[in-house]
Amino acid sequence: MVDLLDVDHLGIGIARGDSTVSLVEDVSFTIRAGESYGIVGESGCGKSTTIRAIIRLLTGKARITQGSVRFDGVDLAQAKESALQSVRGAGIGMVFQDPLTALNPVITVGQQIAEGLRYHGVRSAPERRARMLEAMRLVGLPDPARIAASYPHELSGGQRQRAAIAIALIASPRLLLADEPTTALDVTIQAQILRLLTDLRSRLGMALVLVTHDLGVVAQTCDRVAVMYSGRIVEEAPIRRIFEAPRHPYTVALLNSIPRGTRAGHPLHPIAGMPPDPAQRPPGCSFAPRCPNRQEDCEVSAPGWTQDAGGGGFACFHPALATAEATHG
Amino acid sequence: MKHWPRNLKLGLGLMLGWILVAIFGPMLLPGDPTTMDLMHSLHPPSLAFPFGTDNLGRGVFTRVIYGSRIDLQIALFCVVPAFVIGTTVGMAAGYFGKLTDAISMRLVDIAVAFPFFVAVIAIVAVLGPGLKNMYIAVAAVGWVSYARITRAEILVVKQADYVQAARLLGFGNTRILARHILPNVIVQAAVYATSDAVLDIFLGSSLGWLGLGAQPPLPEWGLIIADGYSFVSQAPWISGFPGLAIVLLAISLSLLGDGLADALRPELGRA
Amino acid sequence: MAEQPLLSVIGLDKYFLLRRSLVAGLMGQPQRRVQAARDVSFAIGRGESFGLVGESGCGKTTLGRLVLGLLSVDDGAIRFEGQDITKADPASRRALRRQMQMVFQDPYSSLNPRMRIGRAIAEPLRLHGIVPADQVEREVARLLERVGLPASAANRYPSELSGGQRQRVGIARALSVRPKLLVADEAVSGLDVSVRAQVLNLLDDLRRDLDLTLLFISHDLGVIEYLCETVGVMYLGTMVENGPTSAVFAQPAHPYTRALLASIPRADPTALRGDETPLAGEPPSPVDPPSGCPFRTRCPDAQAICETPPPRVTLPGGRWAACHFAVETMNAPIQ
Repeated sequence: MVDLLDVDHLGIGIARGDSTVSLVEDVSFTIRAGESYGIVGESGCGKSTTIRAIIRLLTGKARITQGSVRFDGVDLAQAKESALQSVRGAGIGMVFQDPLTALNPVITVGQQIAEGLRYHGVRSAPERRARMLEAMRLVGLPDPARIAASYPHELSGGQRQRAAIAIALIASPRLLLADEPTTALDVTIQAQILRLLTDLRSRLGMALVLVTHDLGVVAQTCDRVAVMYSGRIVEEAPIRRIFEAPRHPYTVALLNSIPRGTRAGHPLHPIAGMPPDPAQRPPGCSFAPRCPNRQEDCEVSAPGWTQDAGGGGFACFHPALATAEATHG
Repeated sequence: MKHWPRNLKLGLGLMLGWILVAIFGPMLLPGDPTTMDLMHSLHPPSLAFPFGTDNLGRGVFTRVIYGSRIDLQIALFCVVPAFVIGTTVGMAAGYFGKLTDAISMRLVDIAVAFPFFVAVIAIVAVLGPGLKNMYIAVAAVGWVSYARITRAEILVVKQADYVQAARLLGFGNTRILARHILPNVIVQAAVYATSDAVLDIFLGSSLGWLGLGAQPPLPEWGLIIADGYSFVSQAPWISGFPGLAIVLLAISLSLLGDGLADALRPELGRA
Repeated sequence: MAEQPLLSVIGLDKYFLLRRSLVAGLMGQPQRRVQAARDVSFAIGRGESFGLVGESGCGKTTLGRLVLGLLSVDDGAIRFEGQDITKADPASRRALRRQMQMVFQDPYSSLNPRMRIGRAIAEPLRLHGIVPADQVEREVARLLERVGLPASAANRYPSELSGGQRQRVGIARALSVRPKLLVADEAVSGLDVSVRAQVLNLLDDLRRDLDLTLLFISHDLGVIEYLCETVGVMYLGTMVENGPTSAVFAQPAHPYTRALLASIPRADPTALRGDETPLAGEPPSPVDPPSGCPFRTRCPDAQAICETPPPRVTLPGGRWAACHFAVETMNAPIQ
């Protein structure tokens, strides 16, 4: 398979006073055409910042400070705004966490879905409408003609997220970025939306990058996954390997924090403490202060990337054993 | 607090300066603001008369300094009663709701039906000119804004989980209002008060100018401006310097208000 | 249960009136209302942890607030230690209320931003004279340490603490008045995975050590399974199933419980993906609920009889489910 997106040593910082606080450091990953890639981590780990940086939708004063984001051979990190505009929509679509704020409240849903086609060369209004209704059917919106004439507040949360997905899909992107797309939804609706994303991916041959804090969502949706902690990717692996044989102690700890039954049967072992403030990361490994495997070298320098046999890797001097039994459960 | 916003420090500094001027200025000045000296009328600014003299030979500098007492007093006496009445009504309306709310909000509707200045002028006209009647008029009309601001804030804070928690912990209404709600809603009203004070100073000066506020020979800034009005082309300093004083006091209050808003906001925010 | 339950809720009804314009009222349009709780009954034994689960708008939060007396009851009874709170006189209601405390969802809005942590916890101690005045400080330190915070946290303002730490402060404050029942409404939903696990274990430890009874309200079935011995499943203002968590989760007897369990994204990539079709559609509006069984519009097994109100079918093991086909559903195999 071909690499569709190649994020290389990406760094993102935010100016605070005279200095720059780095939000994301040295993040590299590649997305192949048609694959589904998950980025998991807790709030503040930089996962949303990373995905937004891909299409340069960074908010506030955050800036890409180093590295490149190659999509189809074009470096989006350096690209001009005009070049970005043609990539957004037709090349890369994005779905956000809160569909209510992602939609314009005073424009009908139909117009918002069709609008993207204007910028991608569809001049005829009837054709735009036809493609809009088709996109709405594709995302499973019932009675498209009626919903097209509705305003966002008239729809339910699940319908809004479907409409937002239709907007992202209208210009047939090859990559869909989804930032916590189901976090604001109820479980049964979440199941519907996840199913929809998976179906669309296989039907349209589109790649998906899904950012979430929920390991369950990743397990059900993604082929490969990256775990982020304090601005860095600490582990990356095919989905089964992450759950069956996590190597980085943070991944292990994260897996041990999700309830999987009763306390008597599967007691949770929470990670003590909290992630560091990005402005005051410890000199060595950021996870060292909370890490059960910590040794002296962890506090001296940040561990480099260790490739593992199964097509993944991790950034740790003292990883968990590679056997499935030695980890959680 | 170590990290006070710059505008708060500046605003506080300037206001402190004004208060010191108002208290000690008149004690240190040799002259008297009302003694006429026709020998020295319409003198331009000089060493002896830093702001010049007016048509009756009174030092404008002396008058402006004495006037600071009156204008600061106007700001204080206009704002405080309106603030106290308004926040009390707003708190009662917002917290207890129902009938209390309905009655007080109808009162507010009546009060806002008249334009502020027109209402104040009408009341002063009925009661008779003078500062005391102006204070009464401003209190009668000005509380409305405070009531609205406070009520709106209360409606939000009342729903906050910490207020629900206080109720569950068995605290009485008085305690919940005084300890848990008031400190969180008073900020908005206090910030508004600083801009209201600016308005009231302008109002005091305008009424003085119209002859409805402070009465001559009081060295109220608006009155001084009115005195100099006829001589504006010959002796612009008579109206100019008190005008400058008003602007400077207004800026001080605005800075204080902005600074207060900045200083109190982060605490409300999410760290 | 042979012993009298600590809390029993019997046939509880709660309506919220929808805003009606003055003109509509004068025109004689009927007042529209939302039924947030319809004939809800359940009991919680002393020291038990009861999980109330359901999706947004199902009425679980309203139910918690009704129990705590933050909302008034329209019909039905809430008995706390045998005494009906809804009929108690104001003074004894206040005393009863203090024995029930709440842990809130949003750790940011549950603490007064202008009050130091120490003062927030000391306030109820002083007001109710729970410890002698000279021991208040020591008690505050003890409470903070009990919830896993250093005693020095007393000097901090809420804005200086993280979400997890604030949630601990909220728990310490609730414990200050020595309650018997703790109502936790989505108390871990706003927290990150690792912090959530800390707070879950804390709540469970406190329950065991202090002999607390816990009413834990959550949309998260995994959390309920971890923490609660008994579960009540809510849908559209009604309780559709109630029983021991392990039995209910192993063999759900209501199609909604079944669908809910099937919808959880399991943190296990080997679990078959998407084998069971997700529940179609969305919950109907509570203003205009379906006749008969509220779930019938989305239920994969709905039949004509479901248009009549479902019976409360008693099942073995102290369970019940409000479904015409409860026994069949319970015995159907799960993929």
